[in-house]
Amino acid sequence: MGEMADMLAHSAGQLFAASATPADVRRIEDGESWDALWSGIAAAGFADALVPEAAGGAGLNGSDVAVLMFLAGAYALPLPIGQSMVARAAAAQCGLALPEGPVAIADHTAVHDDGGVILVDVPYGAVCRHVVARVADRWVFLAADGARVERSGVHGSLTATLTWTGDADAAPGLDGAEVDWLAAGALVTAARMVGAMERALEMTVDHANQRVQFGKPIGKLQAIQQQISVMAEEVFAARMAASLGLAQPLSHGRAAAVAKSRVGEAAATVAAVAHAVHGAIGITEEFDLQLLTRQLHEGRTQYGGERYWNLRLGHAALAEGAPPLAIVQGISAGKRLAAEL
Amino acid sequence: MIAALPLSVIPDTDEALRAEVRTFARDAVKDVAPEVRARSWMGFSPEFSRALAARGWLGLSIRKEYGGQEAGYFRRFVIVEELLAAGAPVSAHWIADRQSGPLIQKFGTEAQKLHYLPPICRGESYFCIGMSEPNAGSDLASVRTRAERVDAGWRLNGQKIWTTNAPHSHYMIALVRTSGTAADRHKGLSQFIVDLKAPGVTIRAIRDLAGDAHFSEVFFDNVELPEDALIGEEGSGWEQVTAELAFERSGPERILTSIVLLEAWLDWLRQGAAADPADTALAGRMLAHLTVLRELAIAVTGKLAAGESPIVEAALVKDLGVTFEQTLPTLIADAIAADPQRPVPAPLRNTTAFVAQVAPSYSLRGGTREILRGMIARGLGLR
Repeated sequence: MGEMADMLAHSAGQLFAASATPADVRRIEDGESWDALWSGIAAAGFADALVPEAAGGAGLNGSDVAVLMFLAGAYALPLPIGQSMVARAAAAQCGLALPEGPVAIADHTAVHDDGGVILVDVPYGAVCRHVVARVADRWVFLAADGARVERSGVHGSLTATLTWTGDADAAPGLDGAEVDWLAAGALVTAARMVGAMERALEMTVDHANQRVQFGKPIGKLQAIQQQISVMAEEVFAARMAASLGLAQPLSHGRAAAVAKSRVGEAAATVAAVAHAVHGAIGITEEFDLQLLTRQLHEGRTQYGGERYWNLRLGHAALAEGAPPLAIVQGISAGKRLAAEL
Repeated sequence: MIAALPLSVIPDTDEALRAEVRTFARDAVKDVAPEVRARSWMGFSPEFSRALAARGWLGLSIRKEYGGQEAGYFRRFVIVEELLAAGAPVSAHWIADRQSGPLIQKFGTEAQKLHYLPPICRGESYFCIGMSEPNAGSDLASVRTRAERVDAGWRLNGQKIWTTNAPHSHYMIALVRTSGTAADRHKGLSQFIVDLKAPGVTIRAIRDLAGDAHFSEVFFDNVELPEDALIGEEGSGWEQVTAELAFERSGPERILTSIVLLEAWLDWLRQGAAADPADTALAGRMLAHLTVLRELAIAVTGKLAAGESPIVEAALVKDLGVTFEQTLPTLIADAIAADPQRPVPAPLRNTTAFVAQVAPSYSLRGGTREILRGMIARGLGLR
């Protein structure tokens, strides 16, 4: 990991530990204000991590910010930090004013209804100031202030449908950003899920070592050990998948596809084992595991699930005609690691 | 403890060799049926091994003074990837190149290194692994083959089993007991380089369920070994074997054993009319898994190249890799049987059948799944 990434991870960890505690997360999921948390993120410069230095940002690359995105998942951060970072960088690239506040990315194309605009089930739609969306064949920023916000109804979820009646305040001009927005949303979601999975693994190992039954910690039982080993394997695979995705440009749909597919598949196993080992306490609202596993379940279905991205990868591979190892090498080629200072 | 596996890059100087190796390997097997190439690294050809050596593609991690290339782990990774993807016949030199040579370089005396390493690097000297016994598989520390000191050296009695390639090998590196009893577990074990032509050595091939005879039983009946047959320290056999297994478990081979089958299936999909979405999604899923597994294998190689000993990490990647390798024939079998009206070409049918038959062996050799998962659990701090 590069030194820049180390520094970022350290300061993000400190900020989240102070301002995104499990209690803070629960409050924001309940509908209370997220202003203070976002202010802290913006003041620390995290939102502008990917914005070029010439535009006032840190000019980092995807690999540099990987750990920050993982931490967002580990803390179940109730704000679309990954989406905001990508959106602000894209705005800078297009010469647009950087949008204020948290920025969501819609994963469905806008629906037009009676002159209004509807964005269905926007991830973090309940906690954003702006949304990147495809409206009438263009990629735009929409201001959330003018919209009616209806939360999805899934318990604790920050997904929301945003409805604008009449003209939505849309700032066009994102088409030049060379971003595959669905892939970008998929990638930042995959990275968040990795952080949640790593924290879930940590909690699971701790629980297995502490919970005593039959006179010994349950982690001494082979059946428990084997499940947790499988969980760890999936976490390692997921982290590598997301790391590869982040090491490629945001126009590189294939690496993002690999990330979302592999991470989504891993998440199902990881959530299941975490809950199996924790027993009944893991299903309670009071215990923090649910903050992590709810992110995993929701993340699987956002920006396309495993089947969607597998289809895209498969179509491309069958059309390409190259042997499988060559295809795989092509997805990996040119990856950019975190910078050393 | 288990350390993170960071995304790693293969150095450009090693990547540069890839195209040449790919062309050479694919040329060498262009008339060989996929079901034969699917034997993967079990294909035996001394000519091919010597040809690789002549190009400087063997002995990559062996120092030049011993006839090696001194080119490091990434060089070997690139070369092996391309050889395995083509299904080239690498088995003659395989074990010597992958682990026996590096083991001799790590633990051998100068005389042993000068004697054994150059012919290994020339692709002329073939080794097999003497670990498992009929009563000592996963419980390797309970081996009973014994070497006793005699005037001129040692006397060896016992047997080994599941020894891949023994009939074709010149030497075996065997884990044996030199002091104490099985109750002493890891203490009192040593490794010997056994000349398989020595009197008292009997090799009996074992036919497998696919009709091949890749592995064997090897019997030792009062085999006389010279003093310098001992490799490393007497009593350090367990530590040495652990290091040897790290060599064995790292590298791209652990994720590429089924790739000839995957390629054959993709080619068949490409020939037909537009592929069924289920097949397309399955192809994508497999490529996603393979992409990630390869990055993990590259990361393990990076740790070896940095002089680390990624024992648990290599076990983790091996277990993930073999799970993928074993799932592949199961899923492809279902895919090719999805339309009873569409006949399957014999090469694809036979390759699928062969890989399905032998796939259980992938998670048995080099440490069973259950053992590896126990190692991972220990690395996580659960044991």
